[in-house]
Amino acid sequence: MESLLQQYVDLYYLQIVILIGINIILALGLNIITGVTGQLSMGHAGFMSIGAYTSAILATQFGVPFPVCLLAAGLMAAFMGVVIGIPILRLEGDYLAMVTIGFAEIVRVVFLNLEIAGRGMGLSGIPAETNFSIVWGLVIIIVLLNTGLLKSRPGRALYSIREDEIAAEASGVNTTLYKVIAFGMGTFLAGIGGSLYAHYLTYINPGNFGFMRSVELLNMVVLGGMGSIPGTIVGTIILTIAPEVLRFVQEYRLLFYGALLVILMIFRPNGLLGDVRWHDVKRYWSRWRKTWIKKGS
Amino acid sequence: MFLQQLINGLTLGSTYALIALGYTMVYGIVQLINFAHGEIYMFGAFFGLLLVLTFDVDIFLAIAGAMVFCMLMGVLVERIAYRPLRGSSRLSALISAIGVSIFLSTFMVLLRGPNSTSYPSSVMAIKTYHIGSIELSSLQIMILVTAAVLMIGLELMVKRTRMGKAMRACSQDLDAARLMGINVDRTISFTFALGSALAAAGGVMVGVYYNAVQPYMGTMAGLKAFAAAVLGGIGSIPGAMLGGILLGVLENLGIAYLASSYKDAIAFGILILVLLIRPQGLLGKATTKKV
Amino acid sequence: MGILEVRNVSQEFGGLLALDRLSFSVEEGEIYGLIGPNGAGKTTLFNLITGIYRPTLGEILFKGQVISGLKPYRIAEVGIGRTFQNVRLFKKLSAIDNVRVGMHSRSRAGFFSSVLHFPWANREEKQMTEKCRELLEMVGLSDKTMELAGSLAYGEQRCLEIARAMALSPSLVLLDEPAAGMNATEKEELLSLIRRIRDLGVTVLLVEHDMNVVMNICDRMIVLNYGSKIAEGPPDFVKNDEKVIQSYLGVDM
Repeated sequence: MESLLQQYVDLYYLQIVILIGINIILALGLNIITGVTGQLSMGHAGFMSIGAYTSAILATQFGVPFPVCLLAAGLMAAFMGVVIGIPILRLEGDYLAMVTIGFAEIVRVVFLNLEIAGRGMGLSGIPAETNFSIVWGLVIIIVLLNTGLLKSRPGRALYSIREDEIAAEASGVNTTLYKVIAFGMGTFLAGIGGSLYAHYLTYINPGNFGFMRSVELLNMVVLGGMGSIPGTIVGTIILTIAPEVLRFVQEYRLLFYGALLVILMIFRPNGLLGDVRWHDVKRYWSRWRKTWIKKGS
Repeated sequence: MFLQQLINGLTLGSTYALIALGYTMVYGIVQLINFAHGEIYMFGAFFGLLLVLTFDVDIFLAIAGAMVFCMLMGVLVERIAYRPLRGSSRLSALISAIGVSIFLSTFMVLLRGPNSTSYPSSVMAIKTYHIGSIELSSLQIMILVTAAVLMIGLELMVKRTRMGKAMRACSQDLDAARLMGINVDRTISFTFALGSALAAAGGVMVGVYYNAVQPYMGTMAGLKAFAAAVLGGIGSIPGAMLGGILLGVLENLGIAYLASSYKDAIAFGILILVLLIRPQGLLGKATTKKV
Repeated sequence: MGILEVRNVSQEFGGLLALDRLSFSVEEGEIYGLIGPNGAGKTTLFNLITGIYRPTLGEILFKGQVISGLKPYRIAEVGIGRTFQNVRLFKKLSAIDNVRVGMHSRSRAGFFSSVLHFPWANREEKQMTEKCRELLEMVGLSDKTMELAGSLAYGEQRCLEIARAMALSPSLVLLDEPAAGMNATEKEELLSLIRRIRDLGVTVLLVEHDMNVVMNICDRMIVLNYGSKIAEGPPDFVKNDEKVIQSYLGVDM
């Protein structure tokens, strides 16, 4: 598969496609926390870095095989997510945002000072295990599982927390438990994404996981439409490609990126696909088809 | 040693407080974390520098000029990027603020390059006083006094003037304030202007104090000032002052007695600990859930 | 021994006594009204019963067991459903999903079983959908199942909230001003809906401002003023009570 792709697809495009896949995994994780459950996390990159470093340290210093690294990265990030989540998820809205920012910054500074993580130099020589099949295979599995989840009893409970926490609780939803579970799942995906990222770049340092990275991931979730899986995917694709497409404007790239966010929010405040539902799409489609058939006959 | 660190901390903390006030006032009225606030502070520092370089003004004029410039800028940012989003979800407004923040810092990079520049020494003659073992520079005194004057002025303005009353009314209930005949749009613009002016003053002073001005200086300062606002209880003006000063002092003590390489983690560590014990911040009011 | 026993309950908010040593008991199967002027403590009482607040003093018993101090979701689990004075629906979920969330504690599919589509989880989901449709039909929303809750008319939203509360299969439902904002026809329908709920064997505790509604439907009622009970009994009895007339119906009467 890989050699076939490399034969026919330009390496540059292939890399972007892989990067999109990694970002989708990361953004879907954040989508569970922020988009679906409504708990604003602005420190997703912190959990991503926990995954990336866990995986990189295991691989470079202990020679652990990649699949084990990958799983360990997810579990480690989820473990930290739950440990930090239990106390902080009592906080509301912007307080939670601030604490997650703070946590991610602390994680970054810790890696900056940690001997085993290579301090400011970071870690290099991470085996290049991330490829198209692994990333997109995982994307498909995660999207399928995620879709199943959101349509089910626990998924609805998560949405209900976003919509109205008091009413959710009065309907029998243990909101504290579900928030922690959502955080655990979201940070698990952050860890997986981080590991893939580390084995994709083969070199990581704390600078890869700063505040701006968390912000980028949040943009992907909000831009596409909060809580919607297709929305998150679309948002991720657009925002991953945007800097590449905008390369022709060179150093003005980020200027456009910033302006793009403002403009998109003004014109689509609920995100690109935020208020589009499968149900409505299907209804419009069948209505449109009916009128079309009538005209035909 | 301890006293010295305390003074350094107070100096740093009073600049955090100046920036934090902008976050807290805006949040109090429109419940928006104005992520572009750090960039306004950065622009203030640069505009002050521009004044000094072209007109050779002294530090007070530089501060005043930067304050006026950033007032306009704050109002403009609100008008363009936040007002159209006032009715939509808070997250959309937040993303818009992030967009503005990215835009402004990149804009400055394009204008001045990513490296740091310093204020010329002519901006202020700095004397150092020795009191026992403590060193105190005239610059530190200037910063502390200016910050104090600005904060007292703000407090008086909010408590005593009509506009201040309108601001307080709006922070209680925007719709009710509108029904009472308060011009909500103007009050919000005014709040942005006020917050931006304070941040600009902080920017110029920090620029002179650390002898460095660069396009990304707003990001970390903004995050820490936001942390300070949350620490004090977001929406509370005295809270922002207390939070800023406390963070500055504790950060300096932490650097002195713990490890300087953990500098940036200290402020956030303190913040998290405080919030776990007092989720509403130090001076924030615990609100009973309205059902 | 009633299904719900409120014993000597007091609630204080920062020195302000919202409820003052209140006691009453609701019998199984009755429609019990709760009236009183604004600020009498009606909604506070609802919030105490459903666990949003914890009483400063006293205790609340449901089916003989102390429930005061339990978390709201636990109280929902033991079988108390409620609606809110200012409708609290999950606005961006469909009507039927709102009801499905109401069935949360009556179903058990967890993360693994639903993500991996275990057969029993699928079966449960199907049964749930059926039950939810029945509930929506009961409240007259069977043609609006897929509408977003936030796009329904106000009266419909109130009905949807009742359906969601009924999805708990409760033994007791608390309705907080269900008739507010409804027109005369809607009110009529609401009355028959409440009676039907009672006929299903569910006890109803009702806060209402509309005197017609209360007098019409309640088997017994309690009148609160400034956090304490001023009268209790059947509507006809309460209607003629001196204190009630003075404090609630106006001194002039």
